[in-house]
Amino acid sequence: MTVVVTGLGAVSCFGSGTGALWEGLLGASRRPDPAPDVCGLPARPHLYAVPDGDAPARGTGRTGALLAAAVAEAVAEAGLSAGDLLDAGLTVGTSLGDIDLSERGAGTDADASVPPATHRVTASLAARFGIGGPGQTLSTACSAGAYAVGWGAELIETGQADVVVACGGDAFSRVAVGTLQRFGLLDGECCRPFDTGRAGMVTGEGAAALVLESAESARRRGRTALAELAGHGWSCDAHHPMAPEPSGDQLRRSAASALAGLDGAPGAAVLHRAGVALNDTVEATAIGEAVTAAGGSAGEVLGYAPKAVMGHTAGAAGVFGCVIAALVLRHGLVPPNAHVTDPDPQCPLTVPLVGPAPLPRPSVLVSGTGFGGNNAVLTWRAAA
Amino acid sequence: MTVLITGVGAVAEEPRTDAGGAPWFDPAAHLGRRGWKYLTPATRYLLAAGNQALGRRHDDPPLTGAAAERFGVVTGTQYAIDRVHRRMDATLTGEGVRGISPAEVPGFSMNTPGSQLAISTGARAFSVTLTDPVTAGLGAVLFAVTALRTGRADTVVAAAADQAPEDHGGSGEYDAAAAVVLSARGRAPGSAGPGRPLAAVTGALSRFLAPDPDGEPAPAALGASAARIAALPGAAGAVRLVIDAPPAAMPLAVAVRDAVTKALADAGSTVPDADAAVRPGRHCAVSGLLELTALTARPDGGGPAVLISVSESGHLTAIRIDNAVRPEFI
Repeated sequence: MTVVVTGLGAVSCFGSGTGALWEGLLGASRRPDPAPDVCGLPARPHLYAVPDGDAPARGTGRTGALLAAAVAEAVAEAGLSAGDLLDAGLTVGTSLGDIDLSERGAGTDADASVPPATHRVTASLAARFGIGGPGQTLSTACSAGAYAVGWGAELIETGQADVVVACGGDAFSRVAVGTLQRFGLLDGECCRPFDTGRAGMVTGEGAAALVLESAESARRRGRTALAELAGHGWSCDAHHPMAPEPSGDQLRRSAASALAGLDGAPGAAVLHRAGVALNDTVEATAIGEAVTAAGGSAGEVLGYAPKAVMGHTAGAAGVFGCVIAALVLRHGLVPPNAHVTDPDPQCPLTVPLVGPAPLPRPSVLVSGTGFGGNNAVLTWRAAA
Repeated sequence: MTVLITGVGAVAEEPRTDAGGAPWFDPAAHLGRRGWKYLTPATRYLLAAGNQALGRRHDDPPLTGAAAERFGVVTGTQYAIDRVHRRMDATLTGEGVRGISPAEVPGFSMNTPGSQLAISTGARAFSVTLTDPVTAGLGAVLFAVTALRTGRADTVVAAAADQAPEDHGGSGEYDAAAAVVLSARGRAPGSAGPGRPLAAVTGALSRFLAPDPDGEPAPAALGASAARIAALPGAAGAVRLVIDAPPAAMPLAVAVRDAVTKALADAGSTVPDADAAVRPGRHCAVSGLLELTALTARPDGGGPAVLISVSESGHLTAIRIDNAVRPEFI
């Protein structure tokens, strides 16, 4: 069964809307701001924050609110009616959910005897939009968004839903940022995944959403498909709770599974690449090898790392990757990679640096990796 | 395709009066003397239940090669990071960043219990963690059944683990973990889950039923969901119905029980009064899976039965099971 995308939504450091996202990616200049002054840290780390005018106040279930904005945009673009949503599915990727509700000084009732249900975001979204079909919250760390999209497609492919809203979101968490800072995992300058001087990740806030639909349902509703899912593969390193398995064997396996749906190499790859040297190298090598095994060559794939200008949005990252893939297919362009002074020589993919590059073939790979070695790779092609 | 339950495991804290007595869970008894010191309690519970379901010891080597790549883990939890997060937040605001211990960091990720089970057992098909309050345990079964049907694995451990927010049921909830091993009939299970079939999972679904301010769902949505549950594949005749819900979701759970009982009757199944139970789930996201493990342990093989977890937010997940042998002979 063919699964297509009929709606996109995003709220990011560029503001609300996929238009703002695309303009920001093309601009390739965004740098992070200091994190809110509630970190309890001697120096405020950086954060690619959603602008205050585009987000609710902190301590109000910020992730849920960001998700609601992204879902509203995607549902509107897809033209889904209240009747369409009654049996629609909802899959949400998030690491920490509404964690701000339980952080003292940032949340509203952190001292309550019963902790707030930080991961109630999915049921809340369902109630808000009148979504009544199947749904789950996936928290596979930083690949949660990629899994939410893949699982949403699985719900359609197995006949559990015709339409699924697949989304992901995460917002600022003092504990998350503080912990990353404590262990030297944050780059003090900005996120620069393709630069040899990279020194770690930089967190970002945001939410993204896709309306997934069977091609038959889209045709029946008279909607234009924005992209078509070509394949998706999952795997687990089963190696270490935090670090990737150095050989990248399992990531390569999931990439190979996703690439089986394409004829040859994808035109571009929206990488998970977050500025952590070992992880970046394992990922690019595994993707490159999988492309080669599929009959292409790594050098004919344009590699793109959006985290350079929007930070690591955790559970949202994989959904952002898929939204960006759809935008790349729509515009036929790959945005330039930002903040690169000395390009990483170990990346086998071609890395556009100056100006947007024409997409050589109408297909895009999206990869997601996370703590625990949770890998998910999806491939998209232009809709027929 | 028939999905079989080939192993079950569970550890659960139960209410007791001697709250100051010995801890309810002894990790050494389940996991041996070493290797668990830096794991969170929920992770320890999960490993104990998972190992029990798989019939393995904790120090058995993990699967490797092709068998590992056809073996997956899916874990439900709602409180996996709760205590770690609260402790780290207090440390950060009190002592400052230097007070955070490196050993505690992996515990600040909802997927860490499931990832440790995947590492320990060698699950390389996937390791997915679901975090829906209350329903994540039965959600793990639904996820596993779907993954088996789409061929992503031949054997999947569907599990759940939680450490309640307060000790000794102080929050009204208790610690637990449970696991079931699911295999597609006829596919080689490798060395994971080799036990004899205990029951068959014949269907699963999830739905959202947004409750009104009184906790009641809209009648039309309730009726439609009940009809879908009643339409899950299964043999006609008497069927046991078990609704698992936290105390705050009781009005919704009762409405679901009544609607599903009627819908099952309309579909040709009967639910004897004595077999239509609403159980107050007190084990967080594990409660539904504990009900499933209890059903499959019955001398009659557990089925036929419909098991539903309902959260106070109106999220529900339903599983239909039957005797392991019946589907082949009807």
